[in-house]
Amino acid sequence: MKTTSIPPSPSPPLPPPSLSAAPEVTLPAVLTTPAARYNGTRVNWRGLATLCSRESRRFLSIAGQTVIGPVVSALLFLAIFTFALGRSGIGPLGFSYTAFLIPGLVMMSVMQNAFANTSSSLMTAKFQGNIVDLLMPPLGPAEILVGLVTGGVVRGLVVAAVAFLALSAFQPLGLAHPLVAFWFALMASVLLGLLGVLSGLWAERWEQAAVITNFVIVPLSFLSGTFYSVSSLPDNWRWLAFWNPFFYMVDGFRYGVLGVHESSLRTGVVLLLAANFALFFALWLLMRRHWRLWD
Amino acid sequence: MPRIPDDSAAPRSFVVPPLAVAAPRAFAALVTRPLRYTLSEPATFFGELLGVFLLAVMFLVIVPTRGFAPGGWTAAEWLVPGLLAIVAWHSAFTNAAFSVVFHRLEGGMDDMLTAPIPSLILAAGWAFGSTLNALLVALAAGLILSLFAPPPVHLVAVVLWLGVGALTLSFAGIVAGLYSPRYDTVSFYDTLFVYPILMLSGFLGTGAPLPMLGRVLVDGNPLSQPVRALRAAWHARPLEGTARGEIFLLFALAIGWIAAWSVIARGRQLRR
Repeated sequence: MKTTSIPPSPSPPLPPPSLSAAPEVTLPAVLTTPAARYNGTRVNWRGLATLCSRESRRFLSIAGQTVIGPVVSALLFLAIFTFALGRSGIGPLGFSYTAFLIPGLVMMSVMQNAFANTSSSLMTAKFQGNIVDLLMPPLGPAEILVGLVTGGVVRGLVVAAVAFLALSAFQPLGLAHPLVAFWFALMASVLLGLLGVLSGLWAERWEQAAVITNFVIVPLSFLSGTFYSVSSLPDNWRWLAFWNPFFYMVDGFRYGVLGVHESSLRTGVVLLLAANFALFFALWLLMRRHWRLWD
Repeated sequence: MPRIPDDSAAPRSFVVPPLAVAAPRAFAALVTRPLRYTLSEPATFFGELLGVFLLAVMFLVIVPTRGFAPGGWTAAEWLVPGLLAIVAWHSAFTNAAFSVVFHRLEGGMDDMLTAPIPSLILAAGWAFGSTLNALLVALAAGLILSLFAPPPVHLVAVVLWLGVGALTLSFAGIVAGLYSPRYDTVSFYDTLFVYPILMLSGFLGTGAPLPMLGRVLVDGNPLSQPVRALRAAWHARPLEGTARGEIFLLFALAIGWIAAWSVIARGRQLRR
């Protein structure tokens, strides 16, 4: 007898899950932001504000080192340049040497601190491995850049205000053009904050970051006209000052405080704006590619 | 039958050498380590030199110092020895402090503590290593500064003063490094204590034109007398009060030695 085995009937395939039957889950707005952001429609404001706040609180929590320290350095420079060298009478641009020096010292503090804040923040995150805390949240490269630079700007402006008050105790000064002074302090801290981000991205060791500071920031700061008037330079060396972008920051800020300047203010404004935009765009491109971030 | 290797004798490298052999070897390794690091990372070294050059250009060329001659000295005669001193001494402090804090935070301190090195050798090795590195910086900076001032007359005395000052600052750097929970803290000590002491050591001018507080800070500064002594040795010119420099500096050296050695000997702050 021939028997035929009836194969077991396969179980009918399960119907595809009905999407309509799934319970509706409403994600919080902050989680839906990235998709929207990459469509170019939204900004993660909450994330951006959090990052800005973190970068500012990071330096304020150690204000003794990040604010008081630079002010002490500025006071020391003022002491050794004015008192120890025994200067008196009329100095450059028709002001006393102390009055001439104070805006430059304030601006030098702004530049060095804005740079230090962003570069140290990024490098510490890279070297200690918590850079993922910056890269994992739904923040785009522009938002990360703005957040980091905001910390540098806030530190630069806070140091500027405290240093100006401290230095003014030795030579009472007003603000001839407050808005101009604020504008140049703002532009300087943005530019140096962006340079700090570039340094933090590029450096793979602390020594490399020190190279940027020693070979770029310090020479440009010292040769920016902080301690001397450009008119005191020999004629064939004067062009060097006009090619130094730091000179325009110091000169513009000095105009805001004292009301006199040695270069074209319009050139300074345009140059700093262009430099900031160009550097921001270049860094945005680099951060989009996560250049040297994951290592 | 396979032969079981005889492992009763430890490998040669595991034999703990006697102290008479280990101590000099460890000391030599510790002393030369900052130099080896400097040579392997020349960018940092050249950065310091660029800073010296800029300061010299600033004070001697750009900022008009004509007429600046305290006690009949020219600006270059006055500034160059002092500038060299503060650069070398600052280098000694930062090198020692960052070396210690680096080993504590990155875990290299365990290698030091497990090695058969007496704490005395450890403290001395760190300090003399930073001192030797500072003298290397001073040598290179001196070559640069020779563009602005004549070379030292009493070279041995100048090197001795630079060395003793650097050793003192190295001990201070070791103590600062041991009591720094983070890298930032070293910068804090540097900015608020070491930098002001160096800047107010009279390297740039006398305390005479300063207000009362400034005069007290300059004249009571433990480094102001050594700076004057160094200047006198450099130009072979007598300077009033030079002898006090030795007392000040030897006192500071003794305090620094005791502080650094005692902290290391007790193991305080060595491990986190």
